[in-house]
Amino acid sequence: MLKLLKFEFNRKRLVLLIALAATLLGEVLALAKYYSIEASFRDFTGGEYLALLMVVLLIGFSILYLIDLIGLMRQDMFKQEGYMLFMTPNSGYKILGAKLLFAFLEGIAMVGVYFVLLLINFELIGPQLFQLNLLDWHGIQSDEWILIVKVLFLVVFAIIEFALTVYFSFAIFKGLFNNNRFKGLITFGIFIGVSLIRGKIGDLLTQAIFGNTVVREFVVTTSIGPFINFSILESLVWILILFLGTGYLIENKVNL
Amino acid sequence: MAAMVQCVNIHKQYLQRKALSNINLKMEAGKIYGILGPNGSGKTTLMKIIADLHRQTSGEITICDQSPSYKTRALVAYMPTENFIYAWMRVRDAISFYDDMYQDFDRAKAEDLMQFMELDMKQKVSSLSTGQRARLKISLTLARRAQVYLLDEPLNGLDPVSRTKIKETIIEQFSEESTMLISTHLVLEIEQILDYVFFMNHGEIVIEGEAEALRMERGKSVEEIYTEVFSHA
Repeated sequence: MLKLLKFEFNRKRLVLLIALAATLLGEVLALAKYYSIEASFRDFTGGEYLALLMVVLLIGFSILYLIDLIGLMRQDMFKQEGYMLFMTPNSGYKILGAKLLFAFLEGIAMVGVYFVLLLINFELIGPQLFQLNLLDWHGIQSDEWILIVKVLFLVVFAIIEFALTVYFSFAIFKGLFNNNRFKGLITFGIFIGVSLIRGKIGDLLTQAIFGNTVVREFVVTTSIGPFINFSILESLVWILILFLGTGYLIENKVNL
Repeated sequence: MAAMVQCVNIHKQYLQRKALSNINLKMEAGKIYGILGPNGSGKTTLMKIIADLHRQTSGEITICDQSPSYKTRALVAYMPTENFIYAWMRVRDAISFYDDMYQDFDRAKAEDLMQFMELDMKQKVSSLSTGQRARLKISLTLARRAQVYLLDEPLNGLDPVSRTKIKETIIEQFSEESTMLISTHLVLEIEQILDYVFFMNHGEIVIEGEAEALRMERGKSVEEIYTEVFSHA
């Protein structure tokens, strides 16, 4: 597994370094702009540059991550170079697991870099503009902490679930068709189909457990806890099913 | 002698077309096999099935008494005809990748082969010429101490110098404990190193036999037999 992770890292090393360099350059430029403004106006006018940078980075990181998440498997399944990886004596489950783990670590690294920059920039403009300090955690209650952690887990699981749905669609395509010129369209169709089925089953389960009224109403009430617990559990079950399904297809059905 | 690779009644059907039909094949240790046929005859599909990159629709395959799986990939050194080495790698990265992934990879042998093939370790794969890429592919594949070697069109599109180097390497590196299957339609170039040949057309084996026996029996070289068979196909 470590060797597969090393390979994925080596492959992405250059792109990640360029992204990091561009991010740091953006931060330096935004800070330079900030400090070039006269001190008395700095927090309001200069703050705009830092806020803009954070928005651009958020969008940029999200797009880069999404492209990377899909490309991580697409490049190996649909390009000739993928033989190099799939010829190795590693099971489909192991290759898939390494890709997911790498994507997870890459996501953590991106969030980490973003959060550090957010702290630095907010420390400059936050207290004056919003009378708010990001590092002041004391006001948050323990049950709110639990909710925050659960929501974070839900977001991470949703990303993994999305990636696995894409990979599952790739694997179904490669199992059924060898090389078809409409591969993009067909794979997208499979992805939509799988997502619809997943969504329908999820709706039915939610209705069966919470009932129609509750599902509609609790979103605006404070009793969101049970629904988040259920969503986390549902996500975990889908991750397991999609992981086993994709691994099985790669191992037994896919024609590379 | 026990078969290192055995295929029994292999069929491969894609949604729209039949790729292989009723393939029966047996490969023993110490022999180099040739799989000869025009483009689209099913040579690559058969090799990919043995290499566990494609799945047969029906039929049985064993590689050293095991069904193809990720475990048999440790026994099989497959060289696809495509440029399968990641373009972002340098030659030394490709060596490190093989060293990491295959227990039977001999790094020292790989480095010797790179020297013999006149490949620079620092050179990027994307900047290699067609001939250099082919030399890199064969060097990596033959630097493994595998049981089964599958070389798909190793001489395709190469200049005479590269062809000679590759043929020399195949002969030098082949071990009596292993077996090798070489697919090609450039029969003249390779026929002198083949012990046994399969002629494939439209996904079927149409003629097979010991290369020497076929020559004696028909009074022709393997290349002449190839021309005779496929000029009517």
